Amino acid sequence: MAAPESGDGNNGAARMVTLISSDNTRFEVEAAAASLSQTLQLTILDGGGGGGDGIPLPNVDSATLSKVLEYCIKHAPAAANGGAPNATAVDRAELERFDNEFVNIDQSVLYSLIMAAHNLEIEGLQSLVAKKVADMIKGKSPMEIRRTLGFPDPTPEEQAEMNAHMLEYGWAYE
Amino acid sequence: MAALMQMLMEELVEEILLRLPPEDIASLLRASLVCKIWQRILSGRSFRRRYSEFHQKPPMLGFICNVFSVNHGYIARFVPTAPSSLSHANRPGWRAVNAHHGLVLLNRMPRHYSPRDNEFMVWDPMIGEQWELPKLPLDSVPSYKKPSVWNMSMLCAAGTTCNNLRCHPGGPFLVVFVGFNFNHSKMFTCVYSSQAGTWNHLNSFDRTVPLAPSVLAGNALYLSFPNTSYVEVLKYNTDTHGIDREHDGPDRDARWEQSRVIELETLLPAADDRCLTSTDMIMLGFTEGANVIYLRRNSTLFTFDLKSNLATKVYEAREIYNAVPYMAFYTPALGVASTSQ
Repeated sequence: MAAPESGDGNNGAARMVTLISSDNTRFEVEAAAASLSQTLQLTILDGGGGGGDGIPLPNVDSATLSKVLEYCIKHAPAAANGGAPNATAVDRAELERFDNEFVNIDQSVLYSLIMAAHNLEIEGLQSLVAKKVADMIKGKSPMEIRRTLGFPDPTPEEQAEMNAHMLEYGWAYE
Repeated sequence: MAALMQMLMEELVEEILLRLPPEDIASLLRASLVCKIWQRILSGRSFRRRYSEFHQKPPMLGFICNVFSVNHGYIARFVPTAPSSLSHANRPGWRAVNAHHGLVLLNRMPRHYSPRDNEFMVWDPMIGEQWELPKLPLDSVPSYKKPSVWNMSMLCAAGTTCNNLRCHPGGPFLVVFVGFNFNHSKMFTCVYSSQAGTWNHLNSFDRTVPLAPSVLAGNALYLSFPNTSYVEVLKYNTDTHGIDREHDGPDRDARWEQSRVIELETLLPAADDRCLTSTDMIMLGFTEGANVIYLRRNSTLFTFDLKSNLATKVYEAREIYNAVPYMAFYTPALGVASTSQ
């Protein structure tokens, strides 16, 4: 792992911060990984999260936070290289493989992840989940999209509009 | 299952919809029927702008084929390369000159006469709207000095930061006319602004006819001239709303170089037509930055990918005499369409 430049005053060892989930679980993680979150980065730069304090995250439960941190730890080295301009093709392929597998998860987890990524401002993660949901929508009819995403059944009015649309735009349903 | 995804804030729904691929316009259209909120997001102006910024390069949606038939005369016909509602969009009596960012420039082609160099129209096949332009201000030029060959391009009038007309549907555009007169070595420039609704003053200066085709990059048109290394850059000036000539002399660094030779005969699918000669093959155009060229062999249109050397047959019609590739962003505007009718 790359030597952390932000390990100020810690004799070269990676600086660690503590994050506290909404259900009071404590996660100790390298500052470099947590800093993928724009919101956390500000707190960490201010010296927060060290020692026994910990940074409380009242909007993120422990299951989601552990998943979020899994992503951050994997992506931290590349992010430290400024988007990894000198990363090898193997590194990039490995990250891509990780990303694909990472979002191969239950929809309720995808939902919690995109909400957490949004709250914590982790751009890469938000984009990854959004892309995954877009892929789930692609090629489906409005009704199939509703079912896939667990929307309630359409109202009679919505149903009538969908039917009329299918008649008018037959080409889009072939 | 709890309808968690339905509770997503609009901002995040937008992030998801932004990532639908632009060439798959059917998916965008279907997504707009999922619920009112999705429909509102997809048909909004801000989504349209963000979507084109996010994907940057508009996808190829089809060709405007110029067709002539004895029975129907000249027709500009939209031929989609992906499923689309535009498959029957036609403009009889017109031919496509070129297309930029979703707008098509058409030239009037009366059935039994030569083309009217004066009469032009801009057509947006995606929303089915058209704008006829006033006649070019050529009255002051004696007929023997009038331009005998010409070229036209379209620019976005929204400013230099915008190079995408589709982010302003029905919004301001410019048409740049560049004409040449062989016998008198004259070059003409003139600019039409959709905001002003008029052509500006016709400029003319001495210049021989350049080699075709010219290249449009951003707001500048690059012309090169036969047997010289001379390159002239015509740039639209957003302050004066006129044309600036940037290089007025030979440019030692600028010249065309042959990058490679492609043996199309061996790469295109075998022709089922009789008597094929090389003169039956015509290059129709190319996509800036996409490494795709467009070819016509006899009555068949092909796209040819310069990277993969892959030729794809797009359309076949006996009466095609040329075609213009059509690239645009499409975002469904169901709600918008119904309020504007």
